[in-house]
Amino acid sequence: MQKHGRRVVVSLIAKGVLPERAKELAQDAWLRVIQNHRRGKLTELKVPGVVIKQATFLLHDDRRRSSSRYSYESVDGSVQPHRDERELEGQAAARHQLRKVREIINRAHPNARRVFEMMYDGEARSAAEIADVLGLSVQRVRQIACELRKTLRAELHGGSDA
Amino acid sequence: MLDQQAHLDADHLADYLRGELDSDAEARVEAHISSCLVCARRLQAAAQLEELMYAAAEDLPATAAVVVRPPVWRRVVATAALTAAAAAALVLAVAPASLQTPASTDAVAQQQGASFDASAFVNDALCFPAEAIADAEVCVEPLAVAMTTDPEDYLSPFDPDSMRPFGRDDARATAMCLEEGPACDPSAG
Repeated sequence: MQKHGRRVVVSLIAKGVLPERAKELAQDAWLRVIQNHRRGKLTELKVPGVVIKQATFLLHDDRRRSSSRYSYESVDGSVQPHRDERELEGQAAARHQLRKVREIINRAHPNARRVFEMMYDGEARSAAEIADVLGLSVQRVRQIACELRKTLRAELHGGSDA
Repeated sequence: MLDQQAHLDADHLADYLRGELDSDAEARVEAHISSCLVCARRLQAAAQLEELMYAAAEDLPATAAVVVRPPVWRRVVATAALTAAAAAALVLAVAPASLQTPASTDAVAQQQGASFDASAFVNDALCFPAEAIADAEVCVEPLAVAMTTDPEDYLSPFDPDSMRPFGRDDARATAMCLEEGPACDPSAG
């Protein structure tokens, strides 16, 4: 749980949730998944995927409740098509970005590619663990990851690095 | 929500998202994010990039389990082994050949009209003087000469009293000298 907990929080932050609220939602999601697993409702427990889905559901539920509380737009349903359209556009943009990321990774230096694979293969390895496996220094692993992110930011967003 | 503090850079935010910061630094980031809209947006963008990278990694063909560089402990062991090998080679190079002269070299020397004393000396290379052997290229490589398993065979090539090579009185042995060996100058004494 601790190993994949960060991933769930990151997925919520990516959806615009502030870190503190993201942690609360993630914890709630973990509790629900564990409860459902104990009750036998989940025959297969794929973490962190199922927890991310649960957390996303909780987030949508959270937003729906707060929007119905403070807005009347959802009552007549007029917002719904607009939201779907935006979601479709978002999905298309995400697919395009994903394709670009793959291209960049594929043409990256083998060392950078190896570091990337180990860092994002779902095992939630730290830079120190990766450095130990690859025989590189922790500083070098972090540097490789930073350079890779910088390249990705530059190619995806035209690169405004702060 | 904007404040006057310096904004957090993307690398720092990425470290935060990956849980690479200590608890104090993490708390500072969260406190700053809660009061800085610019950094909150940057954090969201960094998190979206992380999500993209996770998604991209799922479909990438796995690279063969090739280690970019061996782990540190393996490099240390390899360095130690190489150092030991180099030291052993150095010992072998400066030690006398004694009894372990390759037969083939001996045969070549005899064929060329020179006798070869196996108790002669070993240095970078053991060469025969040009007068005795027409082919001046005949040299004995030190490792080949000194390859022996018995440490007792590594005898000093020099007489400890005179500091001259053993068999110096023998004219043929006198002719066989170390390259640039000061104690083995045929013209001396």
